[in-house]
Amino acid sequence: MGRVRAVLAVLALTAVACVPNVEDRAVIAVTDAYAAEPVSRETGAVYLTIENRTDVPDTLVGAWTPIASMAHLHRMGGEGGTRMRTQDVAEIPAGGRLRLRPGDLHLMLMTITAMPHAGDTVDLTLEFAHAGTVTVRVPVLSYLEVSERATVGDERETP
Amino acid sequence: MLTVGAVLACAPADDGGREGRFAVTGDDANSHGLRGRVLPGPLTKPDVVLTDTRGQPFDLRRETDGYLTLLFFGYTWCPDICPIHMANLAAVMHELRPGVAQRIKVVFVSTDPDRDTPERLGTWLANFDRSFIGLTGDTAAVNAAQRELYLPLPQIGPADSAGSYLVGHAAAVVAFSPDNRAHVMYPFGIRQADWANDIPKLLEIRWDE
Repeated sequence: MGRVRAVLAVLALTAVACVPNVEDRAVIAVTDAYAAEPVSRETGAVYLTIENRTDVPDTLVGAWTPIASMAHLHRMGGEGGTRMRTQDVAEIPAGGRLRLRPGDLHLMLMTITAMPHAGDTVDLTLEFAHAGTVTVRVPVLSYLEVSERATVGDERETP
Repeated sequence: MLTVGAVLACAPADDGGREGRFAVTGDDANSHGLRGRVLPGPLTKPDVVLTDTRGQPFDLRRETDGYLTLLFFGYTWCPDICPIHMANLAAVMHELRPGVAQRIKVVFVSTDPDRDTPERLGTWLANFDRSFIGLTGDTAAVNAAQRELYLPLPQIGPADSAGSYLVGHAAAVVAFSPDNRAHVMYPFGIRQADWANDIPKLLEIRWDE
């Protein structure tokens, strides 16, 4: 068990290290990433926060994971049925951030080829128009654990 | 590759003018210490016959008569709101004192009849709790039931390049007390601890006074 925890700790460190030179210069940083343990092969969801620490806007243009055939970015609902335009969804303003969270915006995995389970980690590569690619190792949480994270209904957490 | 889908889905339950229906009505209404939203007035259980996961007719009023009935409208392709509600309910059902879970029926009605076959719905729900009841029916019947409960009607989003689509639907669980009337609803964001707090109360509160 101790060994497993140690490995997980290393993996967590890896996720940070995969973000290029976070401390050295302004970059795109991916934080608070987690995936929900899928219930079926058709649908999975990944949540994360993208911080654009540069002084130019950037755009998320691609996402890949080895466990699914496709990763789409989806905006849920929107109060009053608001539809978001493509650019609104994927652009991260200079100095701003894009937060994906349950009930709002998620990265949708489709046709999952290797079903991950809570406790696993999956690799996720994001491609940005300016910053290039960032690979993060994402922990898989049960939906119960996902629920305990901030949701869109929880406004106590400052955006 | 990433396809950015600006897709309408899983809309939070309250929309526009209907929102007031679910407004918390103040401290008095919630003097029971409930964490759900107490409705300004009770709602009656929709009089509808749908199809269960074995393909059998399911008369909602008859089959859930006298049970604390936790009714939710969703779909199995739903990425988070639906599975989060089900996971929370499954967890709390598992933790209830012996005999209590037998007084509760969790009912999931599909808003995506084209994809949610009874079989698929049954398999999906069994991932959470085998006691959960999954119902499908034609769109008119399901929409009528939601309209009676002042829930926003489902909206089918545009299909993406892979033919997949999201379904906007009410995000709230409607709780019918053993008196067969709903006095409380539970929006998305409600958690296991909230259910654990409320379920025993929902079973015992007498709303008549």
